[in-house]
Amino acid sequence: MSEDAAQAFARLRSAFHALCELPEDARAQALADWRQRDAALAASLQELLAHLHDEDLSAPRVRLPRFGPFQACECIGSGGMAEVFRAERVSGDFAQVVALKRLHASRLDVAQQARFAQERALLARLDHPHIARLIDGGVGDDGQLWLAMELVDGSAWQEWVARDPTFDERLAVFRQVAEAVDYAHRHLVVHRDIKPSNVRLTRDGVPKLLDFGIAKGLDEAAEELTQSGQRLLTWRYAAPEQILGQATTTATDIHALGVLLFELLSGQSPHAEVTGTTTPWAERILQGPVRRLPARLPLRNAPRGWQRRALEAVLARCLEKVPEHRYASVAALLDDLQDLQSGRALRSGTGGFARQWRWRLWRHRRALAVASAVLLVAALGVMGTWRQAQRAEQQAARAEARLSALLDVIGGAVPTEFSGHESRTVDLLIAAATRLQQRHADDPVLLRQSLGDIGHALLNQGYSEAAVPVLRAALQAQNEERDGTPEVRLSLLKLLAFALELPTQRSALRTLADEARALSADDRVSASQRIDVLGSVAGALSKQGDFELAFTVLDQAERSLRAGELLPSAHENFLRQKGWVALRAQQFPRAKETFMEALSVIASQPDQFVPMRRAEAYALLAEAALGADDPTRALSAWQEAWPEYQRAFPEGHPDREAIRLLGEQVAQAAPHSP
Amino acid sequence: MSDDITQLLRRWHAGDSSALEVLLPQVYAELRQLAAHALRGHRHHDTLQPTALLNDVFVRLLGAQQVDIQNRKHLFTTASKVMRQVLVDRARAQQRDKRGGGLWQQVEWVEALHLPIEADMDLAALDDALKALARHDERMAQIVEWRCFGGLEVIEIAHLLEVDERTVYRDWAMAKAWLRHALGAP
Repeated sequence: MSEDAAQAFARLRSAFHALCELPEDARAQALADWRQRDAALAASLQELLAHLHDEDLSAPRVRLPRFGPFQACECIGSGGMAEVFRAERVSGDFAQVVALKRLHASRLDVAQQARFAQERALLARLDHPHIARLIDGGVGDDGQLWLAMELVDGSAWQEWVARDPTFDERLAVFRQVAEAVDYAHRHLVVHRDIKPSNVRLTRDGVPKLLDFGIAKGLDEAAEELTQSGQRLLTWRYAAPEQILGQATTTATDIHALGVLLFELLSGQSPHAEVTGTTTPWAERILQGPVRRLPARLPLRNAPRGWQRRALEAVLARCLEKVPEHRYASVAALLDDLQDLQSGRALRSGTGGFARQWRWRLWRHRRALAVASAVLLVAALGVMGTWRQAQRAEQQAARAEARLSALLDVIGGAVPTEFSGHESRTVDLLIAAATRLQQRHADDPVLLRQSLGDIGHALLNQGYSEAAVPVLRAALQAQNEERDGTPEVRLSLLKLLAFALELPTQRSALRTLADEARALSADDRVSASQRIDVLGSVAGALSKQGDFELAFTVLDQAERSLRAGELLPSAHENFLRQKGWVALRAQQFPRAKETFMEALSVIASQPDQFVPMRRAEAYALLAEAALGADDPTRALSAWQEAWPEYQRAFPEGHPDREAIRLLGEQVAQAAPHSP
Repeated sequence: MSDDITQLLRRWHAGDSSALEVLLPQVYAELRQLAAHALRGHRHHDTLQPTALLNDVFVRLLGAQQVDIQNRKHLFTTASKVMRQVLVDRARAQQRDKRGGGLWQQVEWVEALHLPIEADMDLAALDDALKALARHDERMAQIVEWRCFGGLEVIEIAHLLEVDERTVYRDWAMAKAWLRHALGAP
């Protein structure tokens, strides 16, 4: 093919492109113009247009479906996972036009659908002037999921940018978008797909963020596809951690906001290349340098001098490749933007300006501190008793702004985990522990407190193995505290002792026992704590079959029994642990005596113990007496224990069942009893 | 899916492009089964996209391995080419031996895969015309090949080419008009 012919075809193509979508009369007019200029091209063009089928120019028409009270009117967008319709309410008394999103349910499995439903519930709570509202949602006859969202009828982001707003106008609109993101983060929702096509402006110029969290649901559904590289979305607005398939957090949204702002001010991507080669986006974002703002910004009243430098610093901070190096929150970014726009030094001190400004993470830090503490307690599944709620309150007061960092961690780690999947709570807690260690390596008190709480929670939920590294990290942090006390360390050691259950951890437990014994000798440690911790360590040792060391530890604790005032609960717990050690070592007479001693402590101050504690002590006594060949004692003890178990547990419950079986054994051993 | 197919996939993934040529017809057989199954199970199959099926097959076959955009482009291009080869060869064979018509049903294939090819299309002639179009504008011919033989949607093609969706629609419409003219449509 000759050069000329190739050029002729290229001209034909551009002429066709220009004409094909025009209405009939405009098309004829344009053709007539071409005939004047280039008769040959006009002839080819006319032939082509004669063979043009208009339906080839757009997606095939589908019958417009109905969703609950909404009738779809036209398809206004489609992608791999969903289609978006403009839809009208057709039932009810009022008129309403919505953007209706239909998810291809065939791509979602049951678990994903369930998660989607939870997501919807979460989204329904997002009510912000700059977030397109979720109006309704449901499941269609064909099992497809749909969502009705507020329809933003004004203009697309790019259309608004094309109208050439000034620098101040641009920044003001951007800040409104960031406020929406900040609001969502505080409601534990991460967007993960902030980009120009997800922001629209109303006719009054008010920006609205779309697809809030929906994007997330979709991402999850598309996760497998992503992993296989079948993702059809462009990486242009992705953060490094998204490309690497790592956890996406609030920091991911901050990166996207940085890209959005950079493009808004410069018209170019911060990852765009100057040279014009075509390295894939993913590679550029992961490895390439972040561009600086071009010297000349295509803006009216573009910032200059320090304001421009501050702006560059803010953008650089948003676009850090390592999530932990970015702004800790959108609120901090907003503070800086506000300062920047009103000509003040940046509060965050970003860019080296005005370090005198204190880093202000949150505006309502106390409220958030309470919230985060409560969230943590909620995550542990121990909400509901006043005592614990009070504890959360105290914690909040104590931890102040430190705990707000925890909220960020919890919110950022895995936001949907609060939807009640128990199996996920452990992931959440572990993720939170990891992030805490990454972000707050310089704050040992916060680390020790939070990691201790998390380790305790893991232990309570039965995840001993997962609790071990967390508690070890807490101990490590405690070591680095300037004013660390033996009391605090001992309470962590007690938790770790319970967690070291595996046979492979036997020597670690012995080492721990040595440390606990040495620390207990400190005068600052109260007698109550000493016997409590040492008893617990001895109990743990006996579980590992390490009876010799267990008895040695118990002997050391024994000396404190006479030392002074003991809390009845600590005293009883010590005796119980001691009894357990004997029981496990099959020293039944010793166990029997010890449990009787424990029961006398309970009897001396009955109001200090719940009925179940007493029942448990009697059940243990029954078991020890049975082993010690004392069926009479075993029977009377069992008779004391049984009614409480009957009261506390329904029939068939494993705890109740165990005691019932114990009763049968006792009855067999004492055939003459009634 | 048998082991040797997995083996072929591994070879392809390791960079041996000849493996894919051997593999593709078998993969399409699998794909066809999947499509037929999906069609039986779904009355509302207007939302079922053939490429998604193609994706599904490859995702299933390749597991969680990383396939980047360049590889994907290569995959779709090769897949479409092989599919074109398979369909056109069979159409030609059928033209040579009219009695063999019962063995292969063009319509059945095209429908099962949701390919945008008219039922009575003379595939051999289409193949020739497409070659001619490629001499004028290679990309336009590529778009037709992807759509007609690879089952790709416009939006996916737009991503592969990194161009606007509208541009692809206009090129597709022009290519079809051009082909209709070349094939002597009235």
